[in-house]
Amino acid sequence: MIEVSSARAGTLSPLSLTIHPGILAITGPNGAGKTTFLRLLSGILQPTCGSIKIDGKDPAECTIGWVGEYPDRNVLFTRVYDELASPLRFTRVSCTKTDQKVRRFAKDLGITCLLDRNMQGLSGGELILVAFAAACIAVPDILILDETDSHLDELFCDHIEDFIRRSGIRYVIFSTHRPERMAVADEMIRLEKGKIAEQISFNDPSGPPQPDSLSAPGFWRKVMRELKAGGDG
Amino acid sequence: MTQAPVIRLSGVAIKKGSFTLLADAEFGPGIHLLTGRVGSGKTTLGEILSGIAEPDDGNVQWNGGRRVMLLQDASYHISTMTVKEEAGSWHGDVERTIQTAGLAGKEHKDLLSLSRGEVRRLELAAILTGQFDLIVLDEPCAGLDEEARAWVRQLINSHAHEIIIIISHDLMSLPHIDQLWEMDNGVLNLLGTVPGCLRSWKRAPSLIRYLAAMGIYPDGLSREELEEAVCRIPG
Repeated sequence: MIEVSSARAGTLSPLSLTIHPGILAITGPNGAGKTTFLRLLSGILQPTCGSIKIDGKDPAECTIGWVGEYPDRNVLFTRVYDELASPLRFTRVSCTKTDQKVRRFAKDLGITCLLDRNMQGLSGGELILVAFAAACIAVPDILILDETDSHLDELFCDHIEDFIRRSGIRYVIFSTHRPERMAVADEMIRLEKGKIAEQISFNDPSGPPQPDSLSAPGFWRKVMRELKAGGDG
Repeated sequence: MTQAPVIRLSGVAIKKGSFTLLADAEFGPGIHLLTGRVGSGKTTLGEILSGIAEPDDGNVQWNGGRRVMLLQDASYHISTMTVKEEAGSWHGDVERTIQTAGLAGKEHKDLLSLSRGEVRRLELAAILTGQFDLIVLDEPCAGLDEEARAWVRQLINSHAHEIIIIISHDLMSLPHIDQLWEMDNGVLNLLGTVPGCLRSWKRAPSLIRYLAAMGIYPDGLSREELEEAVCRIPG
């Protein structure tokens, strides 16, 4: 459990909430405080008052995977292979194990063909996939995806979601503007002007019924469920 | 009367390592949507159309005008300090640009104090009021919230006399679209005119496939047309 108690930072009002293990979507208008909230959870930003505990620990004591909207700003290495291997190499995982893991991850994500490429020259979407793989490869306590969906096509988004479910990462928190992407989460928080305007658990069958509307994540859950049942996608 | 602008790609090829892009196409006035998977060459094609990249083979021909603008998806494209200076840096009608962007009264504001949506609005307003003949918009809605997306749609909808090419993965917040194109592993294909081509679109997004299974076909790809189609779901 992540316990946020009266935590305050930047333009955020003091926030108190509990986040359960699983996938959490954060949405809200530009400037509502989504990125500030993600920075708090990752320990990049310290709350000016209040506290955040992740399974009883301080965020700074946890391992964090972070993928932003423009990962080219955070690239460390020249070759895709080395970028993927870096989180394992930094924690002194053996060369053989690192190689096995890099190749398995690349295969699972469908990016084996990129391993020998240079980071420079990747397309926007490819860059996101590589950054995503590098953020997941050491199985962090929390994986944070800050609007990474802008550059990915629908098939890759679906693929990444399956991948996250199987990854064993305890908390996955992502921000998005798109209701069709929120639909994959277990819970959703909508921020407005630095406050929590809404917190919904999608897995709760007693929750309010969702109309057939492109803005309702519940509608998109139905679309995905029925396409899957029909043997599509 | 000036001639309606047309851009023609004949036998265009560009090679990047093991990747080859091939395009034979003609783009006339109207709004074109270019879709395709990650890494299929969409951005490279946008760069060829706007003259930033030169093809290795084939040629790019123009009929009519040739003023070209490309909006690529970087977090910020700013070169000045204030809203007014930035609007002026596009060499268009400064006042009209600021009006169109909905930033009247904020002329002297520091650009860095604006929200991301406001900066994108200023860029798009400068591009769309700037009398360009070809406008390539690469992910124009990336990072924008619902309200800003609606604004972008509206602005693009009022510009159907130029050639506008939208490159996007987000197919749920589009303006009106006339023609649908797809990059498939580096090869550019014309899927056809919207809405006719929606019935045979193999890689259609999940919503279109879901609706098709119920025999429902939207009248177009704009957000409003998709919303209307969802209203036709029985029950």
